[in-house]
Amino acid sequence: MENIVECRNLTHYYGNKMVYEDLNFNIKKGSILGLLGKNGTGKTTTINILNGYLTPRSGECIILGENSKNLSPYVKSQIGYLIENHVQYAFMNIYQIEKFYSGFYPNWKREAYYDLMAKLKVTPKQKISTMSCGQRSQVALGLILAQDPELLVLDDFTMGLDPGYRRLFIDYLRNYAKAEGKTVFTTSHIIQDMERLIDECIVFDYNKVLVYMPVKEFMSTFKQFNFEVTNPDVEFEKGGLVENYEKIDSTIELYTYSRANEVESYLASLGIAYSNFREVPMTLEDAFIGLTGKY
Amino acid sequence: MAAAIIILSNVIPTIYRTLFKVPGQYPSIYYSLLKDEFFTSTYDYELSIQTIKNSKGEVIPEDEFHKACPIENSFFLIKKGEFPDSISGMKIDVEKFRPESDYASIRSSFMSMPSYRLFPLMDSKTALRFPHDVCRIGKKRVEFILAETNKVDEEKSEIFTRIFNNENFNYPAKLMAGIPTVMKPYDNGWFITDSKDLFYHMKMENGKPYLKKIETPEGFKVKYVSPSTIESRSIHAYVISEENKLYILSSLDYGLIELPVYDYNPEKHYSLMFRKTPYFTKVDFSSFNQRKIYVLDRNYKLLNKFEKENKPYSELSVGKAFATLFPFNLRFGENHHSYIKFVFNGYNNFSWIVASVIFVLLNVFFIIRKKRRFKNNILDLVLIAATGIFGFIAVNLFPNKEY
Amino acid sequence: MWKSMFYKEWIKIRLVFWLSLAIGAIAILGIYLNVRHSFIIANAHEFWDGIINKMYIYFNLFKFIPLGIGVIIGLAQFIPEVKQRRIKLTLHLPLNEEKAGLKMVIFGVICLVALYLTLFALLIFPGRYYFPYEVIALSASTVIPWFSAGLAAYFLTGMITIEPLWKYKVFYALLAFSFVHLFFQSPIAGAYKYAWLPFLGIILLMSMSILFSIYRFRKGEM
Repeated sequence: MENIVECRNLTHYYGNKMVYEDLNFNIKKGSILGLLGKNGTGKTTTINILNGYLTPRSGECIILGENSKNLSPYVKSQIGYLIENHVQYAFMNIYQIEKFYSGFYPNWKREAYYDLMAKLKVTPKQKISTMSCGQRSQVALGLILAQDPELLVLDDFTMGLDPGYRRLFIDYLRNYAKAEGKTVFTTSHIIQDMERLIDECIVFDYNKVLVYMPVKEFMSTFKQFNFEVTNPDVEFEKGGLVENYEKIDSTIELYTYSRANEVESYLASLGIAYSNFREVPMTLEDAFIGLTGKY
Repeated sequence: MAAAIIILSNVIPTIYRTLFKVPGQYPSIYYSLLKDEFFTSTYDYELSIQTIKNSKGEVIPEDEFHKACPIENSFFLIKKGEFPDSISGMKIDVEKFRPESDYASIRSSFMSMPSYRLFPLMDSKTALRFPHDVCRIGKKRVEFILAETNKVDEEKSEIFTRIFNNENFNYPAKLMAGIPTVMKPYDNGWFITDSKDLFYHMKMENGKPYLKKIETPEGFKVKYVSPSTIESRSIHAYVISEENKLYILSSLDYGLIELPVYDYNPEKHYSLMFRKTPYFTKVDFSSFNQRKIYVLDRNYKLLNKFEKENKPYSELSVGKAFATLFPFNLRFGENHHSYIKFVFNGYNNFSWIVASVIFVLLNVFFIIRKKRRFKNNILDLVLIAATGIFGFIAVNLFPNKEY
Repeated sequence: MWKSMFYKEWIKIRLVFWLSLAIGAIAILGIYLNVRHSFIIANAHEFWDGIINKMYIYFNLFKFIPLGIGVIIGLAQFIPEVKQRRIKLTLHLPLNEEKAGLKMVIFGVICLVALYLTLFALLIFPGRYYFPYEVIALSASTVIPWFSAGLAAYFLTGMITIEPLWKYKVFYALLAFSFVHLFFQSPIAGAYKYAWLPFLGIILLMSMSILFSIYRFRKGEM
């Protein structure tokens, strides 16, 4: 399958502070890639590079065959872009903003926008700035749907949405993308409900990539084991078998890509006495927190 | 960027000049006819002390000065009863010297000035009164426009136009010099030149037009006229020709008397003063670093000359620093006109190169420190080399297009 | 695309546009009421004398109005763009970034010029009723630098508003102040006769200044 986005050896610094080094990823046509990470790990930086608002220190991004540094108007018209906080021209109302954008896109799908707007309890004359965050997210989404782009780039669209709107947004988006064969690149620091949407995920930590794999593979291979230890001062070395661990009193939560028997033999090899060893089922959010730590 | 350099080349030198102002000294200089000598009087405003020096530079007492220059100090002398009866054998009549005294101050900036080219023509024979119309000497005729109605007074215009046509006036008027106020001892109409530079005196007497063509030397062109209001009416005006020669327009047959002053240049000397007494006429002009005074006798022959010259700005240390620091500068005005104009001045000597090299090196240092590529900054460096401090500031203020 | 771009800009500035027109018109009305009043209570010829011989500019009240209009139009146009970094939306539109920026500026200039021409006509032409041709001609040349200052202020306001770094904002503001100041150097009517064209040239150079900000945005300095 062809790649809509190819990012090669992206490296970026802010001053002397490294954001990441040699980041590589591709997005296949029709797939949904989620870029997950806590605040300040470089998600928006990546989006900015993708959209040509930022020139990386080195490396390049190829979007629909063009370098992101110089996107042609045609390629830009094929990218639907949702800015963090659903920023839009808030000084316009629903009617005006549709009229504005329709002038730029020859394949503008007016109905797609108004269908979604009909579900909102707003009047056409209401200014976007007076709407709730959820309503604004729907306006922004509606505009992208009407634009009918090949690639959707969504920057932290879940931010500020209450659970209902979040679900609505995610379900609407997934159905749309899958039905129309659209490619989606989204970032998020809220992981809840994300597994309903994304096919593949990249997990960022400060200046490194922790995971880059399909969500299904991640969820089936990444595991959490809990057990009680008698010696509460026990420490584990991270990086080998142990990806991360948390200690709550005498209970250890251990996160790993290894199977249960491998972990048990690992513990035995270290001579750690433990009891009540069990595998704990995880959601994507649990796995994310397990992987990146709570802090 | 270019715009920024232009603005900076005005702003920074202006700041510099304000910060390092050269204090000006403006002493009063008196001529003593009795001693044929110049006295310099400086007044210290902080100490409220007047210091008077003679031509040798010796400080002299006030009394001596008063006696040497009785005309300028008549107020003090009369009060003390020491006013002399005669000066150089000429009898002094206190009653007479006021009507024969006159003063005119001409700033070079008056010489070229935006004008509405309309003027009030008063009646020279009746009591001083401001007219209710203004005069225009247009392309084809003379017109009087009534303020009340904003309409041309056809009848009056017609009368004047006829007189102008009789004198073969070449429309329109070029220069119009008069005193458009009633705060003067008498009215003497307007001095005008026509489009072929012929010189006229125009008046209105008892409502009737008066136009007199003034005979001038061959090739004479008027640059500026400062009408006189001398009480004795012995002279009409002080006249400056296009060649910067000075003349007195005598009321005796409109004789144009050339004064023996040949180094007045309004582009340099921003101020020119005529001071006339019954016994002599003083022509006094100054530039930034030069003061010249010519004293002429009653027949306008040279009596004595005073000259003082300080170092020009470019030779003062502030001036030298100025030329080094700023390769060029932009001003918006000059002394000899009242317009705003772009006046570029610079690259006069090579001292600016030093500063430019320093700024180029400084910028090279910046480029190295910020790890930027030289290739993208060559244009900037060239700009700094050419424009010195201005380019340096502009380049560092405005980021260039570098991907 | 022009239409859409202009539509957006119009939504942003229309309120300020009408407000500017109203303020300008009210000021002009005030000026002529004052002239009329002076003609009635004092003498017309004394008023003329003030203008012709005493350097009185009867519409001095209007002096800073074009400047104010330039600034508020600039603010109305560019503050909504930098708020929440909405400029990202504008630059994402399917057209060349430079063109997008310039189209915004062009629209601003069109509106400004329309306002200025209207106010210029309102200010200058009624004067012909009270004053001779010469007064009107020199008055027109007197107000040109005031309008030029407004145009310059518009570009500079845009540049300062879009500039993300406070350090530069302050520098630019100082420079802008010095530049705008140059248009108010002389109280003499018609003093800019020989200078307004070069000034206009500098203003034209400045109209490109918004591109600087866009380059810097694309470099990621914002």
